[in-house]
Amino acid sequence: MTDRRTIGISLLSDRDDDRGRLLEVEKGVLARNQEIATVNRARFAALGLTVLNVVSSPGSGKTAFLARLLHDRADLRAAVIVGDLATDNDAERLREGGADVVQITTGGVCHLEAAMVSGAADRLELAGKRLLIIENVGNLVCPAAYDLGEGLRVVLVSVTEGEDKPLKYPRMFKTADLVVINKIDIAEAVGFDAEALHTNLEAVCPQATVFEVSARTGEGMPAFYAHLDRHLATAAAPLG
Amino acid sequence: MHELSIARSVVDLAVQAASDDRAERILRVGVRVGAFAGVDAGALDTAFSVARLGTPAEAAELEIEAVPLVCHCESCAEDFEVDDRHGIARCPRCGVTSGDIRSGMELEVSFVEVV
Repeated sequence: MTDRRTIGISLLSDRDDDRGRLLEVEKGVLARNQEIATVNRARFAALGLTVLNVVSSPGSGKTAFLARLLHDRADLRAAVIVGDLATDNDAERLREGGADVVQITTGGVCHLEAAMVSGAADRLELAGKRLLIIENVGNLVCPAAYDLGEGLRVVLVSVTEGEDKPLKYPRMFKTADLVVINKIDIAEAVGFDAEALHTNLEAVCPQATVFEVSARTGEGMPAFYAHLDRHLATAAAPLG
Repeated sequence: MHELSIARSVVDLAVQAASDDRAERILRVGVRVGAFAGVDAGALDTAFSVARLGTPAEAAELEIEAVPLVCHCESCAEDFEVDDRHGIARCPRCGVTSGDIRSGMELEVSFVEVV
């Protein structure tokens, strides 16, 4: 083992019960997940795939957003991995549009892990696809800590959720590449304060590009597609 | 709430390190938890007290080293510590917010003390 060595007992000098010996470990608790995510990322890059990891609270409209994306951008021949706690309703909804969809039922696990994505990807025909969408479990806490091998992390938040969502779940928002504000068609009816949300997003996650959309009406989706297209253009070309 | 699975991984890493060193028991496990690791220290401690049962770490203490969030300000070319529970990383020199995280996301087993 090269990642571990015995270090001096001097580190224990401030303790009066220095009975043991210290072994340096220095290993990430999620190192195994990270290793698999790295393998996933290389695999997807070799296929020329752009991979989205889509996260949100339950009920933000992830599935509606993805259904709209799959419908409008059938040219991308997207494949979808759907994580859900117990049902396959979301996968069924997305299959209706003709997309290649596999379901991961996590059985109560609150997030997807890289190994689950790897296994699900084995069940998809990825050759010829340009986009792989991973719909994570509806949860803004745990999925933040698990790299799946995605190229873009997309955090969805809807106008009904409160403008302080980024302040409540900063860990998730800090790791976002894109933030999509959904249900903008009902913003006025629910008294949504766009400026407050944008201010909070700018404070918590200045690195993220923010979009306002309605998955239901399609409003704002073209700006998202334009951004996605720019990203697709930079995705690695398939090998061979 | 995934602290139990995190705690199990912590115990696994500690037990592996102890076994590699042919140690019998683990007295203490040191973990480094970033302010934005997405793990609650209290919940991790509770989960650890369960996850250690039936392992060589059965009586081990968990020692949590908290690592603050540190971000980098591009215009000032300086790192700065973020003391804000929402993680709003405003540079103390120029006031610009930064999304360039340098530390505070880590979740690592740093050491084990064994006999």
